[in-house]
Amino acid sequence: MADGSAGTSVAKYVGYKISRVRWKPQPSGAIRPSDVFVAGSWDDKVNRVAVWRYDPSAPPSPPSSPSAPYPSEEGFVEPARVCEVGVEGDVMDLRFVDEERMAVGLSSGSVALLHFRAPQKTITRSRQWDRIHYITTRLQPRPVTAVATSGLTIATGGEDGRINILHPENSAPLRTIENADNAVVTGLVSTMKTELLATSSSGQLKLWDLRAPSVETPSRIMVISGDSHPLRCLDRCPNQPHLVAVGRSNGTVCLWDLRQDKLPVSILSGHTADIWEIQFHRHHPNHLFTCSQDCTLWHWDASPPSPSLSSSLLTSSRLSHRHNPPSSHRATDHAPNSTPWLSGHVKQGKFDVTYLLHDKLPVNSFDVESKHVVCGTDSEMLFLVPNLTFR
Amino acid sequence: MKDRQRLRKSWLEIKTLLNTLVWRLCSSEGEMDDSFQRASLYPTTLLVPGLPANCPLLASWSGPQRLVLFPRPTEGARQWAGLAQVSWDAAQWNSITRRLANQSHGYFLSLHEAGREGEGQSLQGSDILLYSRYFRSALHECVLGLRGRGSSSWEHERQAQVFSTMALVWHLVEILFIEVLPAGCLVKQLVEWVTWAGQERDKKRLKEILGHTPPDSHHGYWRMVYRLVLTGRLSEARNLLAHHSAFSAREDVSHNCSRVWTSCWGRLRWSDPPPPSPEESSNGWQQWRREVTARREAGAFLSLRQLQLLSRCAFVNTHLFPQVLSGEEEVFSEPEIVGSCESWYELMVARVLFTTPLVMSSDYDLVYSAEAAMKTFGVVSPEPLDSLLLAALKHSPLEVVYGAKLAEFLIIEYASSLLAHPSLWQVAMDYLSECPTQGRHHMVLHLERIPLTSARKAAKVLQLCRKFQLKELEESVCRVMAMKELRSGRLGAAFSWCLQSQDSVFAAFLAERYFTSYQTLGEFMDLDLLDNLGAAMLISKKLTFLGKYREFHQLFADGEFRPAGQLLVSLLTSGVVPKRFWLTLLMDSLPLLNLKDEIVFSSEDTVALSHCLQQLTSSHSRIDQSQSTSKSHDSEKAPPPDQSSKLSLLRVALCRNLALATLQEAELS
Repeated sequence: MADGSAGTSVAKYVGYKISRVRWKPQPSGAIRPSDVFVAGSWDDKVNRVAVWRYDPSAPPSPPSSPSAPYPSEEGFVEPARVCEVGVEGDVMDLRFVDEERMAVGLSSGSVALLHFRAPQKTITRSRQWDRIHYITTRLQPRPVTAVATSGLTIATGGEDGRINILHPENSAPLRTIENADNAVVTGLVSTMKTELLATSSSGQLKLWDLRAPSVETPSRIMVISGDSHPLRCLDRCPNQPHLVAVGRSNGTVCLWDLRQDKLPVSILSGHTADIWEIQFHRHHPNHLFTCSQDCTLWHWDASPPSPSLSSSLLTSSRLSHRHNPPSSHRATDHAPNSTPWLSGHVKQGKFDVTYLLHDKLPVNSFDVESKHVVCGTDSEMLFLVPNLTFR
Repeated sequence: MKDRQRLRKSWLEIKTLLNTLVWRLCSSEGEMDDSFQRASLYPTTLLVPGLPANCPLLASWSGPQRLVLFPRPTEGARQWAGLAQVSWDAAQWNSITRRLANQSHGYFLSLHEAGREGEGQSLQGSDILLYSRYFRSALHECVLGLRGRGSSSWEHERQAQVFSTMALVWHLVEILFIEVLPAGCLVKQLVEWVTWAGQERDKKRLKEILGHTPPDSHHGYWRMVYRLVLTGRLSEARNLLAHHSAFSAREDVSHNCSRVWTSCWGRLRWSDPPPPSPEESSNGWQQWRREVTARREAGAFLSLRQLQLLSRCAFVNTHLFPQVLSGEEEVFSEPEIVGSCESWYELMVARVLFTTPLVMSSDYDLVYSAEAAMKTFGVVSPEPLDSLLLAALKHSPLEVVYGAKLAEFLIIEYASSLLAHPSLWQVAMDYLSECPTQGRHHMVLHLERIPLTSARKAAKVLQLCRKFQLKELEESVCRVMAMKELRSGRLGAAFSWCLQSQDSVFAAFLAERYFTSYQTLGEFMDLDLLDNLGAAMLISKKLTFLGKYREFHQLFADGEFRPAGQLLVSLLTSGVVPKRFWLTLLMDSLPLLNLKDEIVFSSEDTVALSHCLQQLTSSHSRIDQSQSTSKSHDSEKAPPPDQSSKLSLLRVALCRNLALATLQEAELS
């Protein structure tokens, strides 16, 4: 299914619709990329968070092994389930707090802190903040929609328009922004520990400064004038924190420069339905990934053309499938003050897009770690796209 | 070209039928299954908690798997006044079968996409075959999954039976309809079809027999030999015969026997590569047949007669062999032969293999053999599976499933069974979307019953509505979500839902709510939303008014008095403002009228404003009159004192402004 800049993808039926997948972070200083990820389910009778192990370098397990009920095709490594835990309600968002613990936002309005112990192969609930997203009273809980972490600080947003700031050691929220949004908070990302960016279903991007003793109004509101399509998700560029990419319900990606005006720098169209997740590659920020309700996972490459390639790029149009030249990191990847995403090139649509996946049902979530992408869909499948190449 | 189109058409028919077969067979298998039969024959009694005893009940369907119970209206005192909902689970969807549902959904969509894309070129037969095999392998995987893991429950075993039956039917359909096989190849595929299901079992049994010493003393020895010969597995048959104690004792017999077998079967080319033409292969077949007959007459099977002598001890009639080999049809009614077959279709394939091996899928020989085999096998009242297979052989794809005429009906039924599970609705919708006549109707019926547990789920339902252009449903989903937010007092969230569906009626309603809250609170709620309305403002007149009114406030706050005044006048004169809001707007003109160093309103504007004021007071007095006539004792209540003072303030300010403006205009002219 995968083509373009990646190896052959591996599909694994899991028997439930997946709402979130996340690679477990490696301890700092680790050289090998993570081979463990977690997947959360939604819309099922009993929802769960399962831990999976995927190591493409391991020898394929024999087809008759008890852990693999279905014989895998020869030469393919399937992810193997390590352990799982049931949760109440849909898993709406999931983020790791440290190497072992993760915060899970649930549709029951609660946030669970799950603890995965690799040696024991167990996952348990170590804390739960019950119904911290609600309307008027806790008897009317509303789904948590977004979870962001920064160090040990957890921020959660909900359909009630609240933002809660939590800490694993505290059973009560550290603080609550009561009316953070008059509609629904759809995505959260924390920048520089003290700032929080939130997207809203009313089409606004809000910047919250948590240093202020009491936060009631956002320090900035950014909008797309005359356009109220809900925003669905966001990510900020790892090396240019002022660059924020936002996915919208109409399938477009908006790029905001927080240093500038409240309007986006550019709006890139592509997907035909809601973008559910968006992510810059942590080490190659010229590469952006999006997954969508239109059943696809895209890889956007805005690397500026090198002189030798420029002539060929002039003829290449958008959505072309560029073949992979040998991986090379140009100086521009790490230049402190420039990013191709804010350059004229991107505005003119000069970037490459590759389909990493085209499924039959919506792609809800993905996570890129090093060269591997894991992604979860409504067709009850986990996909692993190994060995991405970056120019 | 035409052939391919026909092929594609029939494939699509069959494919949709087979997809729906899961459901059908679940019920039909149930009839064959004893315990299930018991369950369906004897009604289950269910005690609904909270219901009083002996309460007469009525019931109504509220979904594919739901009943609503309510008390029957009776003359006597009502024992119970309420509703109870009884729903049952779709047990057929567990994690293993859901995998099958998702996989076949993928194939279904891929195939339909391929069909649409290749409108000009038509679908390749090889593509169809590929998907058909994918589908069968998915079925097989599902059966393995259900039987695997050692913890096979009764329910799993029942499902495994259903799916292996499906695989059996589907395999036959694939051979007959999808694969285009040259003469002589069909029979090979049929043999494969018939042996495939029992392969594992045969292997096990063969091992058991060979493990017995001597093998021929095993009670199933000769039956196995027959089975192997009848299904064309001759080398295996020869091998088994060689293990007979008599043969191992007498070398020459074994050798002779082997030679006969080899020479007979070496001449029959019914395997790969396919013969160059039907005529040639037919000639080959005839030659082979003549040779076997000649050899028999010449006594070449003498050794087999000895074999027969030997076998007489084991009560088996081995003389059947030469007859079988030379195609004497009566032999297929011999009890030994019939007894060695596990089903009538095994007997049929054996018959075809030895009598008309060059049969084509469209030949009547196939049907004849099938009917004869059924008769010999003693199938008096054909069970569902039997009629299915026979219908397939008779080449009537639409009758493969019980003679049901409507593929669409079956798809809808299948989709409904998917919908009985809470999380397979997305899969079901894709099936329904392929039903041209009833599909949309069912889609709407089911989609509007999906519980909208979160905004994200609602967004997914909305996206389906947009994909399938269900405009009304889109509006209703947004309205349900908006009402939910409104009831929680969250106007902003309600508003964002309303904007998504461009619902003008609801937008007007919300705009009014916003304005009312402004009137009572003195400030606007959800300013960030209202300030960024843009083109969304045009959804409803009232929303336009709200947006423009907010614009007026902003202009005023920025000190842009003249444009603010112009906007206010145009708002009041355009007729978009409901009359009950006029006073608020007129009062907003007061600070502009009382500006010390600037005249904002021209004389014309002032007249317009005065006109509005006049209309307002006259309507007030009309209301007063009507109120005083109807409720004379209450007449002094209107107009309220603060309102009348407001009105007089306005009047004064307007008069002053009119004077100043006229003077200024006169000076300028």
